[in-house]
This record gives sequence, C-alpha cells and structure tokens, in this order.
Amino acid sequence: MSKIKAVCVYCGSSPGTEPDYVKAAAKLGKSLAENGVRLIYGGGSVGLMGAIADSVIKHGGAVTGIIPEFLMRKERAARQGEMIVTRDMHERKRRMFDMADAFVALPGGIGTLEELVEQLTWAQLGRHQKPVLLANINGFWAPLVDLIDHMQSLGFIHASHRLRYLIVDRIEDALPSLFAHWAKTQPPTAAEQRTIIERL
Amino acid sequence: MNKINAVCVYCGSNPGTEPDFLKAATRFGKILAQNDVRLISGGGSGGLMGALAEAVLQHGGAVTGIIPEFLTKREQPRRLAQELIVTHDMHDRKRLMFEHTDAFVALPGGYGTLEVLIEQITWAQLGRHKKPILIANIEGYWDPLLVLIEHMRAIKFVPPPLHVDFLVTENVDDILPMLREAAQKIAAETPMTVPAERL
Repeated sequence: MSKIKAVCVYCGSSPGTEPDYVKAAAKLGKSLAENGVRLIYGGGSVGLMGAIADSVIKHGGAVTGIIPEFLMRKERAARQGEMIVTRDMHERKRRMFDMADAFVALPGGIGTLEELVEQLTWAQLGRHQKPVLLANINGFWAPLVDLIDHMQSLGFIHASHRLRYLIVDRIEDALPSLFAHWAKTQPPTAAEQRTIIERL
Repeated sequence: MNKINAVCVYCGSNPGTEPDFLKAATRFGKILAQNDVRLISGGGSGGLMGALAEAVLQHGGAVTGIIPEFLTKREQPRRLAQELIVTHDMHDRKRLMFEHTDAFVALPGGYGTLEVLIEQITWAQLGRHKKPILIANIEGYWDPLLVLIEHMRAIKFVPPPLHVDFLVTENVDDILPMLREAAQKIAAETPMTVPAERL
C-alpha cells in the first residue's frame, strides 16, 4: 500500500490580518514533518508560505519550493530546502501537480484561489484521484463552498462530474483526512498521470 | 489598445436551470454582432456557450472557437464558429484566447468558467495584462465569488485594487459600454510589467 509522500499546500504570500491563519500554517507544517510528508509549495519566504516552510524545516521535515523565475524577488524565494526555479507559471503548476500526492488550500488571496480552482477543474477534467482539501480555518472558504453548491444547484456542474473535495475546520484534521481518503482510492498509474499532465 | 474588437466570453457548456441565463447569453450575442465585435469562445456548441455563439452568427457576427483536441468530442465544436482553432492542451487554448481578445466577460458557468475567470484576474494582478475583465452577475450568480474576494481584501490577502481590477454588472446591456470605457482609461496608463511568456 502506497502512502502520501508529498502534499502541495497553496496559501497566501502575505500573512493576512488574522493570527489564526499563521498558526494554522505553522501547525500544518509541524504535522507534515512529524508524519514524514514532504511539503511542496510556492517557494516564497513571506506570509503563510514562509510560516509553513519554516515550521516544516524546524521540525526536521522536507521542503520543495517551486517558483517561477520572475516571482523570485517579489515573493522572496526561500534560501532553505530544495528549490526548483521554473520558466513560467504554467511549468510551476505542472511540476507541483506532478510531485504532489494531495493538495491543501490554506487561506490566501486570488493566486491561492486560482491554484485551488484550477486543481478542482483538472480533477474534474482528468478525473485524477489526488485528494484536494480545503482548510476552512475560521470559515475562510465558506463563500467558495457556497459558490460551488450554487453552481451545482443551478445545473452548471453535472452530478457525474461532481467533485468531492475534502474540507476540515481544524487544521489538526487535515492530514488524517487526506490519509483516510488516500486509503480508499487508487493513485493514478504512471501512464494516467502522463495523460493528465499532457492535457493541462 | 482603446477599442474593443473582440471579446472572450467564458460561460457554461450547459444551460443551467435558469432561463434568464440563456436569455442573457443570447442577448449578449446579438449585441456583439450588432457592434461588429468578434466573439472568442471556448469552441463548445452546448449550453450557454452554444446559445451565445448561435446568437452571434444569427445576427451576422463573427466567432472564433478555440478548443483543445481532447475536448473536441465532448463539446462538439462543429459549425458554431467560422474560425476554429484546435490546440494541443488547455494551456495553449488559454494563451490563444488571451491573444485574440481585447477583453474578458464571465457569464454564469461551472468550474471551468470560474477557473479561467480567476486566472485572468490573477494575471492582471501580476501585471501581465490590462485587458478589462467583466463579471456578468446575471441574477446575482457570482455573488458568492464577490463575497469571497471582498473577504480576501478585508483580511489583506489581496492588495487594494490599483488600476488592475474587474468590472461587475447585472445588466447585459451595460457590458459592452463598460468594456469600452475601461479600455479607453487603460490605454492612457502604463504598459504591463510581466511579459506574457512567463505565465
């Protein structure tokens, strides 16, 4: 039985005004490290991104940052962990998808929302089984959940395409929820993974 | 760029349950045709996408459909475009849609519609482009998204809007005038900061 080896975390490159978000990022980093799960993330050293990467490293875990060259200054590319510099945003997203067994969205801005929604769309189109989890800290993602429910109730998301993302309110439940989901589903074969990536 | 010659419209490849959404798509198609504005579409023939393209053609307008090869079976691009471009993958599709258009409009739709809309807003925020983006909030369809973005702004995850922002209207008749006004304002401002090939 394979296990989740790497989780891609999407989150803000600023800390936001709520200390709970920074705390959640740090807690998730600690639990990744303690469970031997590699963090795949956007490679910045600021905001929630910086908080989670620092925490993983502090607790002896492994980190891979993936950042496009043109954002290295703006998001202050981290000097710790493994760093992959990509030509563009598209390559960054493909590498993230390729390396991660699961995805977690912490609070963030438009960029975080974009990556999350793109992952949900890819899951729908490619029907990949990698779990996507919303870390709904202090109800941050509630409006997105409303939007998705609304899209479904108004007939824009077919029942057959309905994507079951995971959602937790407490960050402590994030990894257990991913592990439980993983135990129930088949990871994509190497060939399936290639097909998905070619179409992105 | 201060003239709107082509508009890329994102919307559902199914019709949804509200007749008002179909009406809005059809009406906007007619407006595009009557104003000689080319529709850049995802190439599908079903749902709101199909209704919109059909309305443009019916009123003598022009349509360019852009679709990735692997979706040509599912979305049947057939005859609802005078010009059909088949791309290798989703990314090529998005890039070509971007290059062909002067502005973006989101009508109601599902995950795919939401994704491309958010992507355009992100690209604008990163400084890739200054093409106007308009959310057609028909019957308040996009209200939850607007709530989410407001929330992100309030807790400082989204920098305060400078000149990069999106437009919102609930009235289909306002879309084209708003895009034209925005394009004129934008033409007077500074050029983009991130070359397109980096995104």
